[in-house]
Amino acid sequence: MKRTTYFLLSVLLTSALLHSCTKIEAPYATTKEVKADTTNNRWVLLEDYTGMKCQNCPEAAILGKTLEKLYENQVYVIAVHAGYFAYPDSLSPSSPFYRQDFRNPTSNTWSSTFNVKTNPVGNVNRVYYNSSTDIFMQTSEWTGAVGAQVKLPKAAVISMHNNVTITGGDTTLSSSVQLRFLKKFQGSYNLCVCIVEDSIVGPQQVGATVKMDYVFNDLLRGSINGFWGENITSANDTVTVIKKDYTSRLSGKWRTNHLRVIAFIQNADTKQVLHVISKNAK
Amino acid sequence: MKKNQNFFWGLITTLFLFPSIATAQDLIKGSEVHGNTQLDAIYYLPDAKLGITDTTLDGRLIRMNGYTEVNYTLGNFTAGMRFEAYLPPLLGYDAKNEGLGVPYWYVNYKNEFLEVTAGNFYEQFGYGMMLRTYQEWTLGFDNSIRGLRVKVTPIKGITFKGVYGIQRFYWDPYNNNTRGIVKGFDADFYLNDIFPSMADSKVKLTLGGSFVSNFQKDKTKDYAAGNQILVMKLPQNVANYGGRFNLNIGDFNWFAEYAHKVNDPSSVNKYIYKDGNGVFTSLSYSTKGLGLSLMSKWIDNMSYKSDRTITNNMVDINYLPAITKEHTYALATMYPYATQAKGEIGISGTVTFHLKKNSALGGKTGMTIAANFSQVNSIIRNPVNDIDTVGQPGTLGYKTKVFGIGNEVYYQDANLEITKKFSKKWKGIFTYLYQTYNKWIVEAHALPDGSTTVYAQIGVADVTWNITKKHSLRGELQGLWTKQDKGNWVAGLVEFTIAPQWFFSVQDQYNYGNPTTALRLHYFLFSAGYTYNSTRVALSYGRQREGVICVGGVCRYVPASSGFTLTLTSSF
Amino acid sequence: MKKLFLILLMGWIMIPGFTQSIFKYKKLPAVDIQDIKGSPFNTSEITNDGKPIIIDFWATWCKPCVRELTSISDVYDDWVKETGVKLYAVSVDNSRSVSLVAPLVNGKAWDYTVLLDVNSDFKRAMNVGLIPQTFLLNGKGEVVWQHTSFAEGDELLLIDLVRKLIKGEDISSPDPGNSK
Repeated sequence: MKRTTYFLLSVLLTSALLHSCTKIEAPYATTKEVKADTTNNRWVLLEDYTGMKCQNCPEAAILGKTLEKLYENQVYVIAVHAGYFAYPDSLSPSSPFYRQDFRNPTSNTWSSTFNVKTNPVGNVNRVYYNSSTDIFMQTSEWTGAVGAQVKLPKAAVISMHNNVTITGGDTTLSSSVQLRFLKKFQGSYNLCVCIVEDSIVGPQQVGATVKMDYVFNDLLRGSINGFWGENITSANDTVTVIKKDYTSRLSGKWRTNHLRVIAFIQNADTKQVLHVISKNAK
Repeated sequence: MKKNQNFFWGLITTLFLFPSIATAQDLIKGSEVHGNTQLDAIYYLPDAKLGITDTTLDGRLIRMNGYTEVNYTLGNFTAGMRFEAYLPPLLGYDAKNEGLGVPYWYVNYKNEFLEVTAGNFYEQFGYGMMLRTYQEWTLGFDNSIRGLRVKVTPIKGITFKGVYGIQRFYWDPYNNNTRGIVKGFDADFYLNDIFPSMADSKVKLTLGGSFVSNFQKDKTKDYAAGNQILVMKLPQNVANYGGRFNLNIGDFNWFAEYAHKVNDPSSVNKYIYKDGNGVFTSLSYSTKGLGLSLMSKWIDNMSYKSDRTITNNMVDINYLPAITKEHTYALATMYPYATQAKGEIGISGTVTFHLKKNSALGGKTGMTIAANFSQVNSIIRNPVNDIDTVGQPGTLGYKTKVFGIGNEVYYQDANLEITKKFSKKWKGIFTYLYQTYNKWIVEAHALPDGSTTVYAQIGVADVTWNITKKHSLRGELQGLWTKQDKGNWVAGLVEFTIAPQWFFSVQDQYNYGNPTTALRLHYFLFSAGYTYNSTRVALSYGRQREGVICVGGVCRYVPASSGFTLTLTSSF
Repeated sequence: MKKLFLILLMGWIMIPGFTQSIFKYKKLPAVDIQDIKGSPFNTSEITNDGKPIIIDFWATWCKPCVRELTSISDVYDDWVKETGVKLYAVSVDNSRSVSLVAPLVNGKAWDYTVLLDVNSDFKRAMNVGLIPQTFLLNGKGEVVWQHTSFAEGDELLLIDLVRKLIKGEDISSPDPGNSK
């Protein structure tokens, strides 16, 4: 009995000690250049769940912009303002600045469906990365997750034309999206068309202080064809060109010259995103 | 969930019926079944003044956390499991807790020489700076390891321990790419048992050492920075090792532990490659009527988790105790301190003395006085070279000075507690505290004016009146005075108990000094409880203020709420 | 979900009903902890020459625990003289506050045998949820009674039970309401 135990223990110990310390020598990191391949590879959606009261969120926004620039025209960010950190405070003295309400039915629905409770967190194409249970990850994982998605072959070709008309007091957006799948896909797919606004100035918690003139970009204003988009048939057909036209009235508070329309194809069940496109509203 | 429903029903039946069946049949002679259970259920009410609406509650007004643990012993074998359910979790607990199942089970064999555990286990090496797994229900904290533990006692006084496994992360099944595999070895030598010559010595000495390592698969990590991508090399194995001693000579006791962690870039330290170091030491002297204790600690980059991407309280491998005094009075817990694993240096001293009956100061009945002072500061962080900034990802990070004291005060607490018995029927505890609390460092929230530090004075009078042998009335009067944060508070509590079964209490916390008039709110709470032997049921109704609950230096944020709370605990 | 919630709730409420007063420890679990000097101590060594034993789980930061032990401390000498009972005060303070145990115990001049259970191993083995929790063992080392929480006056019930034990009375289901 004792002998066996000693034997097992010494095996355990030796293996533990032999393989249990990796010392990394400087330089700890190398750099690599990356290039977007908009022709052959997938275009990628990076969803950044954020809030004006979240002190680490500006860092995440910067990272999002960095990734957009690194993979130009291949990566698109949507900043989803929802939940605790986006809750405007009219009462709390600890945040007398946060009067703006950037939340909207779409951001609230996405946030509660995905059960987002902390900020900043994000997902890339709503796909699992280094996890089998949660598509959301800390900012430190974003680069790797984007890197994995931008390498995938393009799933569809997509184009979009937008126009904004102002008649009387009404601002109307008309969007036309055309797409064709490049590969046959099983399952049901939706096209979701959303509006984002750039260059909104307002207070944001940055570290320990409040920055009054912080600039919000990629801010989700809402979806124009339902929270999860509209079903598109023929996902298992590479010939049909699917064409969708939308007209929707815009809020008068939005500045049309800062609006963009982002359209993406997603699996109706898993919500996994296959392809994405972004164009100015006008 | 649906797929597993049969399993769950089976499980629930087993858990709830098993104990009674087991007794009824008295399964096998010499076997014992024990367990314990706790249920916390809250019916939340919207409360406009606290800013709580149906929406902020997600429309889920009824929430519960509950567990039942059952252990079965037969001879040298023990087996047990814990069933947990969060449907959905109470506010302030991570939403990832939602669900139910058996996150903890084990089989254990033990004799005088050998102990083997398969399944989940809780273990501590030394004082915990290299490895400690434990569970703290009130915090929703559980970092148990699932795997194998072997403990060997070759001769009296010598203990070897080996552990191997993966840590719990909510309900997530083990996934090869994420959480690491924790391996650990610990040796403990109690010299007085080993050397017969020391057996009766007044000097008692224990020496120990541990080696812990965590394996994660990934070898590199991409990190976008500027116009390029940083490809960081990752250590697959992160080691943390060190030693300790405990020396006891008569009334003196001195212990110290040192831990050294080899490069561990992680989300917590923002991917810097500096080694981590930690020293924790305590010296105490006590004799009848007098107790002295001095603790100090230096922590530098010592967060140690089995998943380098996690930043919250989960998957901690080691434990870095806070050395500040743990307070329990409502207002004294307004500004609790939590260890800053990234780096801190602190000192704490406590004096407790008892003035005897019939002495000049002690009066007819005696008096106990306890004074405590603690302060925690930042550590010194200097740039490694002229190019890289402090803490820049993908670099060494910074250079520090061993035991160097940084300028920033994280926490300071000076407090005095007097326990006095006035007569057979009356006694009281009187406490005064002066606290300096760096809200930015501890909670990552700055104050409204952009400053970071709260200075608070707190006074508590706690008086008990034993009306009869079985009936007693206890009252608390508390005040907190500060010019920062939420301003002044006053709190009162009256508690009536009928031993050994009943208690009733009414309490109120009133934020009368809040700079915003609309937030000068009362937080009334009515509670009643019934205890029968080891079963206790308590029901309360009222408001709960926003706060941070800390146990052992680990903290959990609790949002303000309003509603009915049911708490049930039982052990059998 | 709601159905599940209700069923679980009922289940939880039933547990104490099923189990209360049924399971008495026939033997204390043998767990390696420490004595107040930091020397190894195995809980199988908790003995008192065939006289009753009280085991009280407490911590320095737990106010009701300290109140309970202070109340008992005032009369402990008399208890020991009268009944020969021995109280083991098992501190579950972890490494944060373990070095405050001896100063507090001595500072308050308590006469108990104090044990240190720094990672709650013994607490877990005894299935203690909340502290304070008190166990009463008879001369054979069997747990005959346990109680959670503390109210002023609880100590009087405890010593009554000890007295009954000494007389050989059955206390397996004491009716606390009728005790003096």
